[in-house]
Amino acid sequence: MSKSGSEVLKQEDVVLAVLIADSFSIRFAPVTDSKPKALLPLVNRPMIDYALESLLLSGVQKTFVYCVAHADQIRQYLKESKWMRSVSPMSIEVISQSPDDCRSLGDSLRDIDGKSLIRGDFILMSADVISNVQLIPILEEHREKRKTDKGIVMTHIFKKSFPGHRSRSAEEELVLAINPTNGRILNYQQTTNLKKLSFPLEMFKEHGLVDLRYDLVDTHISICSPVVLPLFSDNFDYQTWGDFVRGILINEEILNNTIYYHQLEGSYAAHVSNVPMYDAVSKDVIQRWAFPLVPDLNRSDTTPRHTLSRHNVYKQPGVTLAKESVLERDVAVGENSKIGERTFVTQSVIGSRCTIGNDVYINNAYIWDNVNIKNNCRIEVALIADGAVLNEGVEIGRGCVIGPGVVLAAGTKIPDNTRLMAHPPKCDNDFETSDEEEGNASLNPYVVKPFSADSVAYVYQRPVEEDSDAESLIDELWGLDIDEDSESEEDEDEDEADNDEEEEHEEEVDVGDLPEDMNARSFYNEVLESLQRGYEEKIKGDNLVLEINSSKYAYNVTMKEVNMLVIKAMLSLPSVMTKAATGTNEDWVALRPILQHFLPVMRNYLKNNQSMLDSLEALEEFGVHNSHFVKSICKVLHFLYGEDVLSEDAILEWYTNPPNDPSALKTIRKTVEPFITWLEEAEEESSEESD
Amino acid sequence: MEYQAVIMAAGRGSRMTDLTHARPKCLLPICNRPMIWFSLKMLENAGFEEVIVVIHEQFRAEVAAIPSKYGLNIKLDIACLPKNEDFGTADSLRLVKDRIKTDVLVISCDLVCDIPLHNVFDLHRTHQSSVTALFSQSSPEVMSTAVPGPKTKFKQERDLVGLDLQTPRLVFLVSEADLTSENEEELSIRKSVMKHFPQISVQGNLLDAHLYVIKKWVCDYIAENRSFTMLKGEVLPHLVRKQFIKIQRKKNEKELPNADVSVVSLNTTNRDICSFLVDVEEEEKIRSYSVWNDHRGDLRGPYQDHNIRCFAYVAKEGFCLRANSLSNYCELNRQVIKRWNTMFPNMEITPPVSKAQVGTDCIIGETSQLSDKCSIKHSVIGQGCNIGEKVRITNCIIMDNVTIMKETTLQGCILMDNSSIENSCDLKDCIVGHTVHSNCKSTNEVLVDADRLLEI
Repeated sequence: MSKSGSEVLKQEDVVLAVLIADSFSIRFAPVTDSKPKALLPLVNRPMIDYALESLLLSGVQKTFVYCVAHADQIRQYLKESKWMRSVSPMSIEVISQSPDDCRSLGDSLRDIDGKSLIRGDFILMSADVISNVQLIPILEEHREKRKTDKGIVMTHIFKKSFPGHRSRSAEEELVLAINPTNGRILNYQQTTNLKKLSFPLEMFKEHGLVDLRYDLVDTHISICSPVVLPLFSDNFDYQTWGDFVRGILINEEILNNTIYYHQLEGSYAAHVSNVPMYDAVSKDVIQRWAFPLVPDLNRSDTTPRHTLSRHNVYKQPGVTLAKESVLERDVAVGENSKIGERTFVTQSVIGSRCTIGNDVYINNAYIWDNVNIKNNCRIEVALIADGAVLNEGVEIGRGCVIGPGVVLAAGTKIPDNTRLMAHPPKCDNDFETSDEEEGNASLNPYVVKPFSADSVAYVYQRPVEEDSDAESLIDELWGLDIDEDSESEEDEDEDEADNDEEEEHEEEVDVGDLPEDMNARSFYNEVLESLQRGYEEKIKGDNLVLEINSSKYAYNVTMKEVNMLVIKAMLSLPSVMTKAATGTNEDWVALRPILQHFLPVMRNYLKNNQSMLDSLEALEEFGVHNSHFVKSICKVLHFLYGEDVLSEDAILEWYTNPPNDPSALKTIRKTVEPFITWLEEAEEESSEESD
Repeated sequence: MEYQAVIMAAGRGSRMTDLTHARPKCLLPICNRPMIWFSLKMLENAGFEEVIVVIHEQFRAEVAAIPSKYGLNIKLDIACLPKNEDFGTADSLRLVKDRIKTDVLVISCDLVCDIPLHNVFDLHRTHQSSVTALFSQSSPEVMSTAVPGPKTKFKQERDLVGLDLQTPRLVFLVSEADLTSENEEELSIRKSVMKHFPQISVQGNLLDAHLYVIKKWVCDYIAENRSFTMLKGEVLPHLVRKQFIKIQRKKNEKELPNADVSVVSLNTTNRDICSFLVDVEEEEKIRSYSVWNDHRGDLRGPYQDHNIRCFAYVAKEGFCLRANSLSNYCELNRQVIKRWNTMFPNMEITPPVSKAQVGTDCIIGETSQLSDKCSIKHSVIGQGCNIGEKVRITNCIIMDNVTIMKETTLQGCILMDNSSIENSCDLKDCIVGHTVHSNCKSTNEVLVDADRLLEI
């Protein structure tokens, strides 16, 4: 690694890394309001330490640390740490930029490009990545690939992790299409809110063999060719890594740039993207998946090492355990912390100089430094930041984040998924005080609401982002039984799949005598759509007629078909809209307003005797295929007759003609019999009268 | 008897009509043997003693004679379709449903392949597969791109086959033609499917051999469900999709149709696919008691707890080609000549004694007469042919009883039965079905007697 001889190495030979010490997100707010994310402790050690450690272990010689939010704190921290000492084998240069000028990964890379610091390949990594990957071999692989593919711009590193695994971040689910023979990325999609994934057919045609991978997790580590920086500069709309990949893939044919993937085998890498991931990664570190990045091999000089005892219980020096207190398993306790009598701790991390009272129950919680927890508190699945005070009997619900300095009065019960902070949110200049994504925040003032009288706590409300619904939902899944959730979601999916198919079937069966002709079928679907929309949006009949007529020409269907299909579409509208085919009178109840609405449309089409006969035929066919409709057919006939859509003569003529389908005789003809006799009588009467 | 075999030999050969108007597709010669002989031989080699052959009734006698004529021991059980009626493969299977007692192997008569079938059966047996399909990865290098007859844009039909990387499960199957005809630019997959199969390998260059091993219950399902006409186009994609459905167990459904379903629609709707499954409960029990699992990465049981399962056997090596188009038919002839000795050992072909220049990759019928000064390369010549002096034949398929007079040059041609070519013709990439008069020069043409076409 460190070469003897003080020859100045050419920059191309130095292994370079760029560490972005900002995640440009507010996933950890309000904790990150006062502290940069890179310095948040993960198992009693700032996250940036892990990132630098892994770069050092990989043999990186020079690292640029790019800081945005709270840059001064990071600079200060690094200055005092071992990293900046002259004996360190890895030299570090801190670049800072004000949050106003840099709001995304793209901005920071553009800035680095502007400073023209880098001329060779470099490793791009986020400071919230915990990994034990040996990066040099991957860098070599990247250079090797360049020999065959001049356009290679990036090798991105992924870790295999099957759906449902805790190291998958629900926010960052992705599907990759790759060429298995050379490892090229052909398509990249974020799938978090999708139910169906679509891939361009071209891709499959061009590459005979394509692997679709849903089992990969983005590690946020990539090996970049120097051309990456100018690419970011040229495209100001590239903000995130995803933008970049999509842009490269879209412009592939023009620029001939390619991105490759590397799948980790046997090594660990994870990105702490949000609080649930913080939970998962902490557990991985405690359970030694990230070896040698484990608490007992802590090489930091700011915090002492932990000692490891059975069941993954780690203790720093000076920990006081009162009698009958239990550290069950997967627990790390920081130096000089005191744990009271009969207190039970499991699967949790407790920071330095904490005081925890008697009879406290702590399960799956992350308690940072200088926290004071009084007797009889109950904490389950929560994050409690520096200096918080929990008085007697406080109960904290699942998925809560308690900001630094929050004081909770005795007996307070915090509902699930609450985020608390010590200061009332400032509307005026939260631009400075809030965290990294201030831009958005300033537009959406926080709601000021002190939590309870004796406490120093305010509910933090995430500024509403345009697309935040789903994201915040996912974020709030922390602490809930995610497995069950995803399972049920899956079932829904499957049910839906089932329904879809059934629906298809139903449609096919129900409407029955749809002409085999594809044109007529598409015409029918189009009409159905227009009518549905027309009914829902109360569009005027004339406009609908126009629409239907244009569909008629588009699909070249005959007038007879138009008459029949329009009627059929109207009749099937209630079941299409409610997706339920209930029998009896409800049918008519649902159908009546629809028919009423479409009267002008029907009047337009049913002008002469022949068209009326067509529509009656359609009615009959529909009845044959939808037995529940038979009951209301009389009412429909009566209604249409009453509204003068159908003439008496047409109905009678239809009734005397033999039905197309013999089974209609029994059912439909029988049902309409009383109506026909009534009609006949009425006619006789009227003729008598006129006589 | 564990498996039965059905050969679908009633195909029209709609992509090679120039050839099939004289002989049915299944009797077109490949290396002087009728196409169907290759399927029969393959089944005999795989150990079948009897096979059901679905064929149009007018060819019954001819097909029935094949085993004795070519020394096969396999017994034919011939099922006839009425003359001139088009039956899809699923229709054909429905026709013979009463003869099917077990799981069944369905192949089409135009398949020539030397992939050992027991591999496919093993896969089917091991996983209790509903349908197992054979795909071939290796496409033989194409020797010539010229196709006799008028130049047409022929597009090889391709499928997109989605295979699970961990197990040989068939996750989806779409034909490219379907996608393009519906003007879809995209292939979409449900995320729930990807959750079950997070690693899917999509292969666009596999050759579907149209060889399927089908469970008995699936046959019953096809027999009942009259809307299916084709196995490949309809049944298989349908089953592949049905893998992911959840089984709703409504036992009485069979006997008691829902009250609000009319009698009429009951006749048209089909029974739910799940009601055809046999021994589901027993199998589920076995699965739940067993520690074996076919995949890793999640906590679901073997086969993702699916009861309908489609598998694909992808042959990495071995020869496999279907004569489903004119170009493939020509290619198949060339390929089989090359591989004859390895594919069919102990079946040496002895050329007739003559002093003609005959290349090594030629097959010539024993009763054909070759003049001394003719040269023949890369070609097949049928029985009872008469070839005159100074005739040069390259890359041709010549069927039976063809006469070629002297000084004619033929390149890349197909000469149908009883055709004749007079002196000094020069034909390139033509299909000939009648007499071609002297000094004729043609390229890429179909020379078929119009009158004779009408007679037939």
